[in-house]
Amino acid sequence: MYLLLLPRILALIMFIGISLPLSSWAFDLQIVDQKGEPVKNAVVSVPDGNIEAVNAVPAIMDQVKRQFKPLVLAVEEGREVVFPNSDNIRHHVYSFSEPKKFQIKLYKDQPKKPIKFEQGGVVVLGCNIHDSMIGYIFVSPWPSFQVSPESGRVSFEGSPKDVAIWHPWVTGLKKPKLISFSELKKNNFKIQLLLTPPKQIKKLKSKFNKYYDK
Amino acid sequence: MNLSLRNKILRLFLGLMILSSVATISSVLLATDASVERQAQDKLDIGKRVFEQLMQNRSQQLFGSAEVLTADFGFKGAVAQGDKGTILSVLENHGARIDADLMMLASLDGELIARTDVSTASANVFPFAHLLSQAEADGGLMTVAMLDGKAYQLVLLQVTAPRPIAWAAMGFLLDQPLANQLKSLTNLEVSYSGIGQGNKGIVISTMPEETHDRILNEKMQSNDQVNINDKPNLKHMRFGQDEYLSLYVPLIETSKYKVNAFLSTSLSEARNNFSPLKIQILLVSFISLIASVIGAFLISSNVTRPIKNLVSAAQRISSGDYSVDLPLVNNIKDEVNVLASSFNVMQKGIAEREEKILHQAYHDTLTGLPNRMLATQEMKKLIAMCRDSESCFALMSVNINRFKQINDTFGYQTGDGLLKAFSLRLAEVNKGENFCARLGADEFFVLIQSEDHINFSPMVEDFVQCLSNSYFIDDFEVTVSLRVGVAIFPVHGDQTGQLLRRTEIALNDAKQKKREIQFYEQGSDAKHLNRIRLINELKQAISSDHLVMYYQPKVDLHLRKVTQAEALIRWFHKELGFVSPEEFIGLAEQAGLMPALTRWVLKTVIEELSSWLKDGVDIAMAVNLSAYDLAHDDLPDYIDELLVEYDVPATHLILEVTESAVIEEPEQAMNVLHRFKKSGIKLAIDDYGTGYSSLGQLKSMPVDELKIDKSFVLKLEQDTDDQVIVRSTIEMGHNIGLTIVAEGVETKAAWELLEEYGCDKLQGYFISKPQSPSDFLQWYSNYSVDE
Repeated sequence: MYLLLLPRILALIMFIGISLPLSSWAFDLQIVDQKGEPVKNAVVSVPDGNIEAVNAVPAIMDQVKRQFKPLVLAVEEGREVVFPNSDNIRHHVYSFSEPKKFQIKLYKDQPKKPIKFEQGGVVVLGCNIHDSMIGYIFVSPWPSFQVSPESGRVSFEGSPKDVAIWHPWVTGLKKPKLISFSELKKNNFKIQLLLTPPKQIKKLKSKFNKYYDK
Repeated sequence: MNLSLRNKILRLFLGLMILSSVATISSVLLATDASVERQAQDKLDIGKRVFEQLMQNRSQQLFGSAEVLTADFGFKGAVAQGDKGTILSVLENHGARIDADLMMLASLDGELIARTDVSTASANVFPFAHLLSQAEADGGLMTVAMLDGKAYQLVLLQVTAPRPIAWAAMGFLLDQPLANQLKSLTNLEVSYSGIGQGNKGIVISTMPEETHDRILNEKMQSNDQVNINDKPNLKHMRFGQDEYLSLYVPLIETSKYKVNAFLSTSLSEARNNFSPLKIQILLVSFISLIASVIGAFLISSNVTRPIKNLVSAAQRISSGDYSVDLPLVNNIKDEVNVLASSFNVMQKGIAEREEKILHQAYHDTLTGLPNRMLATQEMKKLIAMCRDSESCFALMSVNINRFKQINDTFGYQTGDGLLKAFSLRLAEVNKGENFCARLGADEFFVLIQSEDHINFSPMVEDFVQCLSNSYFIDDFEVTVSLRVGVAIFPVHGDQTGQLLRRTEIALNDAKQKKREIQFYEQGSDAKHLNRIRLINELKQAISSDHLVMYYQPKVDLHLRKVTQAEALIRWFHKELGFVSPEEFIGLAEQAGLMPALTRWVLKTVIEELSSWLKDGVDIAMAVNLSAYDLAHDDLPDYIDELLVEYDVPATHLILEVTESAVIEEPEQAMNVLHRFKKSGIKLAIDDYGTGYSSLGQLKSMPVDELKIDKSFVLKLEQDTDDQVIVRSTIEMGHNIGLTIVAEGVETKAAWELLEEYGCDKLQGYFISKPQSPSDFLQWYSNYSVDE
């Protein structure tokens, strides 16, 4: 029972931390891309502590208009995620990622049961029918993590040794990257990421002629 | 000339035909060549499009298959889980579907995961790692690549789950069956060439084996700018007899390898399609050339044959043959026929005129008798004939005596009538037996043949008798006497010229002796020849200095000194010595040398006189003029010019003329004398007393002096008749105002008598003989009348 309450307490604490910005152990982080624009969907976590309580309510990774929504979902280890289908077509959600391999074969509406993510890491979601559908579930082994909203701004309490940051569009970033607090301070709590958005897959056929057409 | 004209025409025709044939053939050849080339290019263009489409289709097939492969969920799962066995089986399965030659899977880093062709040496390596960056940038790659010395059409495609997890590679080999298939579709020779690192290059080709090296090399030069009509990818390639036009299609060129395609079409084959046409055209050209040679030959012959005829006709005419007329061809009035008929007319005209001229050349126009030329020819014939037959003939030269007087008396018409009548009589008398000719005015020529020359005398006499009868001309009865000279062949000569000359000499003798008939006398010829020789030498003497002037003084009895000298010509012949003036002046008159002689004398005397006058020898000079000199008008002008030239006063010149000289042509002579007088020249009558002139006649003449002939003076002191004549002449002369000069004064007695008679001037050996200029001057300076 207490264990179940813990996240709530934590959430409450976090809420107090946010609501009390002048508190000596709270800090804001601004995440920007190479152009200085705010970056959303970055997962920022504090690599410290153990998960003491798992939210019993499954997290939701919706599929809307042939896109995973949200693009990036962060959950703590052991959390369950449901994959509702808001489209009126079927999807075949799968993952070949090491932390959690699974597939939910062609379905509509709610799948029969949620998937439980017990191992930390990045799980890349795909749809076997729609190649363009890519989603990410960040399974955090630490209790403190946030996904950056549109503003690219996240807040944390205290003054941890490091923070960890991950974004699906940072090339080659398979694990969260650690940034020391002192460096954060030095950078005025601003983190800049080099983002490479996935390309739209072009029609290769149109490029074909160039080898023969001189 | 004929031949060369024909050759010229032939050559011209042939030249033109050959030119046009060559032009036709070469234009056809050029056109076919251009056509072959153009068709080959078109064929290559079309073939290239087909080729590209086929290549593209294969790539599309590869691509489609690769897409299916990489989208396969099971395959993705196998890849994601690294299940190599499954991966290989899936690759083999998909490869088999499209009969791909190459199936591989590699990690994103380019590590080989699986590959179906495990037999090759590099089986555990992914050979296309170098292409991945480009493939990644483009989201995949369709290309051509080399692997282990083989060329492949290759597709690289990512395996996504859903992020990229691996690279799948699928390839078709560019091999001989493909080339063969493409050849059958494009109807072109298809070649692939490839060069990779560390291998010498491969050629897959439908072309013969021996061309492969060249194809490989062509590819090596692909970067050179080889242009054919601004189409850089077109190349002519020649292999022995075969020529190809090739289109070069680069497929890929990387730092590691190059793969190219060649599409070739045989030009030789295309040209061979035209060879029947070429042969036909050559044949047609050849036939038309032969035809035109024959045609040109015929035309040139047709044109030149009439010219040839004309040429031979002209040659015939020039050699004097007028008998053959030129044939007229077809009666057409073309140029050649007009020319030919003109030739015929001309030939006829020439023949007629020549006949006429010939007749005129050999006949006398007045009498129609043969002339001297024909007579000479006839005589030559006769001489030859008589020599052979040892017979003889008489040559008569017949003159009508005093024909000039007949002419003067009766008029020329009557004279001509007489000549005609005489000719007729001559012919009549001859009865055609003897040859007659008219040589000159009244000179006729008759040849009388006889066996024996003794018979000639009566024959000639009979002849002359007949001819001497009276003639009735225009109601006048004219009586003629003849002078006939006769020479007999061979007695008087056996040469034409000799006989003619001797007949002439005989005739002269007859005239001088006033005989009717004179046969040639032996020796007359020598005299005659001597005269001719002297005449020739006199000509030379005038031009050289063999003639000299001597001077004989005249003494003026009133002034008692020498006032005049008579200039006398002397000829010292280098062989004959002194030649008398009477002799050679007579010759000069006959030979027409008088004008030259007189001029020479006048010039010499006036020149001498000029120098004497300058030296103070005040003497007037007397020069003798002949009748001939008086008969011509030009002498007064000549003398005037000389006087002016040598600055001699006219009063110092006296011209002496004889009575007879004046009497021959009185009017003309008087005219000339008056002109001398007008110039201020003194005139003297020489040899007075020997002629027939009266003092009355003298009175009418413009003379100043009278020279009494020496025949009256030489024996004056003995002959009383001479004394009377001389005395009365002096008196009468004085009465009509003339100065009297006596010639031939040789004694003192004569001098005294003449002085007593009142003679004005004396001349003669008693005073001095004629002397050379230097002697004369010396004598003059010493002479005194009263010593």
